[in-house]
Amino acid sequence: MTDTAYNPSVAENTFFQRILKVMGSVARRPSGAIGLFLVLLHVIVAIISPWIVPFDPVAISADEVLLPPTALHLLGTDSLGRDVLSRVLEGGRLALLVCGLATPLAMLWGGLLGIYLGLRGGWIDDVVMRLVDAVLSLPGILPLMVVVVIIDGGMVVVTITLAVLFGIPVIRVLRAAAQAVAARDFVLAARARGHSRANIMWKELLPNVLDVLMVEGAMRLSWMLLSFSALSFLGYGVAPPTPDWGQDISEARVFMSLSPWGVLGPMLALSTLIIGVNLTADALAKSLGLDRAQRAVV
Amino acid sequence: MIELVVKRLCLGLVTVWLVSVVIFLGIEALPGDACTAHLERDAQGQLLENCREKLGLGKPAFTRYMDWASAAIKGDLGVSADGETKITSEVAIRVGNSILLAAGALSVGVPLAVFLGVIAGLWRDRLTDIFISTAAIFAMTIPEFVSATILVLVFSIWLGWLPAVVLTPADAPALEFFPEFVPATIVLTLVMVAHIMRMVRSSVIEVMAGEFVQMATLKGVPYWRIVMRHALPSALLPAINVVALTVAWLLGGVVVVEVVFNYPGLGRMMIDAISDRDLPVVQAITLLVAATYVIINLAADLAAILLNPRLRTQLGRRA
Amino acid sequence: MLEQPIIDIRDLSIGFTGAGGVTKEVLCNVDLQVARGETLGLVGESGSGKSTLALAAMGFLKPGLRKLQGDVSFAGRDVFAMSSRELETIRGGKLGLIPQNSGQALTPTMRVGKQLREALELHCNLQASECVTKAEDLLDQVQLPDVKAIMRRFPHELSGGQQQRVAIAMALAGEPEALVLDEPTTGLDVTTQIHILDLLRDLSEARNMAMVLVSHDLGVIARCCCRVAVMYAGEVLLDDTAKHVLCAPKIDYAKELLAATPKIQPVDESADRSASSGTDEILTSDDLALCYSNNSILERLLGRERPPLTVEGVSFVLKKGETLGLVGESGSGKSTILRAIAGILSPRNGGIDLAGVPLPPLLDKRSGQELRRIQMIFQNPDEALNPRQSVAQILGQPLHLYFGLKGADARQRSVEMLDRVRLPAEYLDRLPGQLSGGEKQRLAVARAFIAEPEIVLCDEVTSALDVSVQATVMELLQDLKRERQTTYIFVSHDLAVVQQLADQIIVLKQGRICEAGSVDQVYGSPSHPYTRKLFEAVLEPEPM
Repeated sequence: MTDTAYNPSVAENTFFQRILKVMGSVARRPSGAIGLFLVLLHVIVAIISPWIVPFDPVAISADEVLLPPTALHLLGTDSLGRDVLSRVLEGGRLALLVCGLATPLAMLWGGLLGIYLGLRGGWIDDVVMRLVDAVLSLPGILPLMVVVVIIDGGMVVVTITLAVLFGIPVIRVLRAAAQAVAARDFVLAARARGHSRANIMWKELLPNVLDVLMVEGAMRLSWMLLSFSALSFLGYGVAPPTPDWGQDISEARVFMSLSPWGVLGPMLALSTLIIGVNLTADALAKSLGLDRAQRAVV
Repeated sequence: MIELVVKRLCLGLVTVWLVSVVIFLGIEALPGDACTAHLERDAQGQLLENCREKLGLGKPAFTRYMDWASAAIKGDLGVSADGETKITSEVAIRVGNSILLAAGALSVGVPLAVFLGVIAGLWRDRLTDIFISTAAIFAMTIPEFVSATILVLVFSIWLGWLPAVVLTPADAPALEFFPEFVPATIVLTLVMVAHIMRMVRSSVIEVMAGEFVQMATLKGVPYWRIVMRHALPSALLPAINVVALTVAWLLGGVVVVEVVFNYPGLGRMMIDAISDRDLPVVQAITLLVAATYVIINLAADLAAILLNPRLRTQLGRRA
Repeated sequence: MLEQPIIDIRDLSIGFTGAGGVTKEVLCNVDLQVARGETLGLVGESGSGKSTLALAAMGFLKPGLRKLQGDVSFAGRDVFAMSSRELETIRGGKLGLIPQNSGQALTPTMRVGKQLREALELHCNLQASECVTKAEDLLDQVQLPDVKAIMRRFPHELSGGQQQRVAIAMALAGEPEALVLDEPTTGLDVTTQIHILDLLRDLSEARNMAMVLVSHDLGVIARCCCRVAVMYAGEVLLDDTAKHVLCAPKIDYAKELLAATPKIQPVDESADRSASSGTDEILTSDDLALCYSNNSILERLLGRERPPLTVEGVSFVLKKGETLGLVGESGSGKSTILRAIAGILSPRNGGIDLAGVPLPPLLDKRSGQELRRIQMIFQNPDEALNPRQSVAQILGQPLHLYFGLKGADARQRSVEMLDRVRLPAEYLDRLPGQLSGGEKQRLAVARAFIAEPEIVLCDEVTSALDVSVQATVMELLQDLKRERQTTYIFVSHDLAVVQQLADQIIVLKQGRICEAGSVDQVYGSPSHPYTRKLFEAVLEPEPM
């Protein structure tokens, strides 16, 4: 009984109608509702935070260092006397902006190349997949760090590097999805009719791998946020004094035994955002009938 | 059969070779070279000349690649950018430490993950499963430096049970890292248990819904006997590949955790090299870790083939 | 019935909770009794609830289903009231199951011998050494050769027929008094099917076992059963002796079912049907040889031999408006030939001429016109229609490609074509998932014919469909052929279906032609022993 699986009907055949419909079914699951709520909350806060912060997040105050929460500073102050709440409210803006831009870019190039390879096969496919395997064997966030440290070009470089690096596993996933669709008779029928490869990619494959692409996008976003904040935490992301959760956690850790307040605020904010994205991705996968734990972690 | 193993090995070798090319070209593509990076961007004059001389940067790229690669095959990973330290001996110490950390996490994590995954899969959508699965989502999504910080805050600062950072020198014998490496192990175990458990769970669910489990039920086989003898051998096969990915990750990708706990493993060495802009070291470690990744995954593929009767005979027939 | 029935189903309703908490019934108020030693056939189309009923007889419901009312008792005891311990004793013991697809139903990681021994250990108190001899004895009884070797094999190392025999042996391990057979021969070739059915019949007679045989195929039922229950939409409409059901059914549904079941018609060999068709040769093939896998570069470098040919020496001459039937069992290469004609597979040898002009072997070298003139219809419409495209888009694709039609013009053409295959114009904005199986296949026919082809390749176009739907699709193909002088190449494993449409027949065995000729010749007096074997294996829906 597939009562929980999402059933397509023609009324939502356009792209946006389908996204709306899918989001609706995500919101009907408890985990999806919580996830969407958390994500939306963070997005809204990120957008309006400059107008709602109680203090200037970069204003230093030498006589208000490492304060516990007070009525004035609801989350206390950090080692430079800056208001933690204000820094928490603004600390997700860059992460969301960079990852929000890099994810669609990664999905676009990785997805298109993956679909192309899945349909085409042959030696080009062999060669590209060998290269993809080679790049994927590089350890974790290292390529990202090396590029960012050596080039040192700020957020533009980070965004482009994230988009490039995170597109590579997308190639593999979308290629596998496209291969599965390409093996079906309707693609064979289109080939036998003599349609061009572009037409088959666009009209036959893309609508059928869109689900995979959406789930993949949500997952990549969560991993990208993780990488971005890890980069910041290690000191190679956002340049101080701009507020950023990863960097603030790393700074406040040093004074943790004196005042734990500085780490708790940004940790809570970062964790709720990433959990929110993950819950949404999970609910999305379940609503679309794609079990994401099933696929190996790349 | 043997032909297939050889074929896979060759493919693995090709991948390792490609990795070395990708790394070399990647580093080449970055602006500047090992010396300008190491001596900061505006280094000029004699200092730069000396450094380039020492690292042999005057030669064409192809020659340098060949020198580097042929030395690497012989186990010589070159010297660091300051021209002083032999990378191989330094790396060897760190590899040992990383293996220690990985072994600690794996020996607890894998059995625990499989147990939890099987339980959650069998009792799908019941309270136990909901609890385990929710905990898993938290464990795998909360950034490592957040869970590490919480751990330190609670167990080191408030309760004082565990050391907050590792102070043992990198070349100390393995035993001296105890109990300092425990917190790092816990953080890593959390993440890997969550990943493996989720995989095992969905694999168990899939297999238990399979026709042969229904058939075994209708053959009168008792429930737990079905689980142990009919379902699990199939359900746990895909876990091999996920465990392999985890092992590879533990051996090379745990930069953040090693930094947080000041653990002297490969990840720490790598990040230190990056912040020193010591490109020869970065290049060497990256190659080592990538090669390990390829080899472990290759081993897992072969193990999966040997343990799966279906694949085994298919290949036997083809060979 | 004087004796107490072995399986006694009274007023049984089974249902599930559908969308919005509404209970939907899969079975409603079913009464059914099976006496000891009796063989009952349960026949119905897909979705009629026949498998659910058969499994309910074992006290088993698929996840999500629940019993709403009624009782099922086996040998006088209510199976739904039994403890799991009791159920374990009965299932596989006195009440055995033979599943639809033994390839899936045998545990893939366990050797055949071990699975058999497990059944014996659970249901007969035997010593370990006795178990081995008993297991070998059982495999012997189901007429498997070289039982010692088979015991050591894994299920996937056996052929489909052998797997089914192992499943039978396993069911026999518990000395059953009754067997439930859920479509036991559906995945098998016709020649294998008949052996399995005869084996089952002999076993049930020898052991006085009752059998409940579930099948969609009246021919299968007729071969084994003395009583037949006809099911439709969860109800038993008719429960009568096989003779009555198959010769003079009392209800209309059974009559329709019987009428729709294809039967081989007697032929008049002297009649010359070819005269009615045109005289221009439209499609010829000369000594065609095909091979699926080509050696990789590496294998060629290693000097490896080329893999054996899948198809060899196939020649035919087709005139306009004629239909060529390609018949053979699975793996005989019939679909491979279609693929070569469609240009998906390049022949290793020989070529294909379209109206006297050689066709380029691969489709990317063929011109638009050449492509348009040859269209294809597939076995399973669920696979052959893009689930994400609306009917208008599906029909619009060839219209745009071949005629450059778009928008209102394309819609107009599509409506005309839909009308021709008797689908309403409103369907244009539906997705394939909203159509029934027969409607989908008619849409697939429409997609092929909207290109105005001269040759249509039909690949097992009816085998995924229920018999009543099958009949309408066949009728449609016949009408279109008459109307448009279309040439068909019709691939099927079913001799009765092929006969309805074909003028010429090629019988294939392992990629080689066994026999070729006009339908009347081949059906009237098959000359090759393999062809005769195929004809003997055809199951007619007539009581034994």
